[in-house]
Amino acid sequence: MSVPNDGIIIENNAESRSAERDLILRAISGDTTAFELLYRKNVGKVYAVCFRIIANQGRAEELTQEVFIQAWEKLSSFRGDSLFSTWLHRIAVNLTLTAIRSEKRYSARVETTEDNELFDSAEEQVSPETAIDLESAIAKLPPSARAIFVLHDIEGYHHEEIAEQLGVVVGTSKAQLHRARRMLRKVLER
Amino acid sequence: MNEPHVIELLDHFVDGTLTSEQMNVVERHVQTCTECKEEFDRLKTFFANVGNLSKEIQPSRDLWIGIQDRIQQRKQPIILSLEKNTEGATSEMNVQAEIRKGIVDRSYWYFRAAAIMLVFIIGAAVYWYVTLPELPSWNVTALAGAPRANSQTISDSGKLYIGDLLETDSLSRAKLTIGKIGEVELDPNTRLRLLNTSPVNHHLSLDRGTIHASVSAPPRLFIVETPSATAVDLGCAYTLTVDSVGTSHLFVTTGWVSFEHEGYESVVPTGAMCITKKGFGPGTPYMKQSSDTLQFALYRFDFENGGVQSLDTILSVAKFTDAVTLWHLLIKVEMSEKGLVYDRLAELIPVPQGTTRDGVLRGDEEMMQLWKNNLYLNPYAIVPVPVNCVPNATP
Repeated sequence: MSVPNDGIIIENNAESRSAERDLILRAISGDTTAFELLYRKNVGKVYAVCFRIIANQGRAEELTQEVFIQAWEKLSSFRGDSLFSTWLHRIAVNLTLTAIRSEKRYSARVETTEDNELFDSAEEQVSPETAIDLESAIAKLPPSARAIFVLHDIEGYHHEEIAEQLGVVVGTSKAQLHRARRMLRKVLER
Repeated sequence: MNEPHVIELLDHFVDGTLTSEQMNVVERHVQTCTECKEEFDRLKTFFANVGNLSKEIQPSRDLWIGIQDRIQQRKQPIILSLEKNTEGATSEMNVQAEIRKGIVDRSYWYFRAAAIMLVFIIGAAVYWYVTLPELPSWNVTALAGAPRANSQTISDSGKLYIGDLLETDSLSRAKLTIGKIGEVELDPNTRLRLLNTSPVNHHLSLDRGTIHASVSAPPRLFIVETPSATAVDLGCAYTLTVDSVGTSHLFVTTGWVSFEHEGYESVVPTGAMCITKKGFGPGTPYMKQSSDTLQFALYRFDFENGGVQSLDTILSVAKFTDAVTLWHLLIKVEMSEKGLVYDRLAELIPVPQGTTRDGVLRGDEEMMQLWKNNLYLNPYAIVPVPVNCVPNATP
């Protein structure tokens, strides 16, 4: 998987990375204060990706906690090849997509990805009151289209990576992305 | 020439997934076709809006407490084994309870007499209670779930009296109305106690969790004790979190808060944050947008004996927006380091009229106050204009 776009990169300079490496080493040795600092620097980015994909505040908060708990447990396997925030981001995406896959509604959507009626009905779900709010409109997309839109257009993933993560073919990822965009634009341009 | 419209291809054009020949066709067509050009412009606006979405969204509550609890459970197998050992003790307690029960059975008449006395005592207490004037209290409103005041569930609204505990669990939130001066909202998993409330003093202690306080009152009227420092309201709105080991995190959204402990004071202005730890007291305030490098170095300086190495890092990366941090460091650092901090501060913001380097280094209170005024008392001075942006910075 390629590194997602620079939105998740905190401060790519030598001093910052050195300070971060130091915190990670301390956290590996069991220092929860060091891990808390890592949490506070990254929680906004982790929560953003969880929330945008899952579109549910409570679930996003649970997933964010799960991301950091999993990170704590796997910290010794972090080799420092990528930024810590990138590593966390991958955990967040994996956990969130797993959560989505476990939802029955998602299964139904994936099985009928070529069904235009589903998207048409989803378009109707977006009320005019929220039309000007892009975040609200994204939240009302069907789960699979939303996940693909967030990963591709906000997080910078390629279709090949998305297809692999979601267990769909590349064509499905592309088709869903364009439909998601069309739905969002239709709502926003009302 | 009437070329076919390319609206359906624009999305792919933006993604760069067309063949080079198709890309050329679309590019050429958009320059000459008004309809496709308008559609292309709308598409660009859409992508600009998507690109402007923030990469960060802060959760509505502090999630660290739950994380910390769970990772500490994994860290402490010794505690678990100790808990197992207490099972034997529990059995012994049960035996003792059985013995006590036997004594009570044998002493039935004594028990009956005691019960009658108890009824009289309760009756007297109820009479005393209903004839008392109403005690000072705060109104509590349940915002979600079922918060508890002194273990009593509040389903809608209730009262919190002096000495009472108010607690939210993982599903509940609550709002406190502080007389007529403001409100405090409790996030889930928060526990606080009302220590005092009167027209001249509203005082509570935050044991753990997160509160959002919004107060409109004269300074020092609303005070929150935390396990590591005291947060004194100077007219403001702020969020304060205390984690399970007693470390506090303060973020001021408007106005100022003073974090105080054993004679030391950190004044935290709008947009600034401050950490306090047990055994250390208040750390140095820093702006939310301060660089990661500065924040890490400051944490080391405040809580891990980072010393001159951390100070050098702080001074080298400080920007004019970090003047609040440097002013506090001017008070904290060793005498031999004050000159370094002063020089950097003077590079970043205009030196207030009436102050000198020597005066500040020897701790002249009036001069320090002038710096402080320059930074805090004027809202525009919270983010001072850098010297090189003001042609006539020194009058």
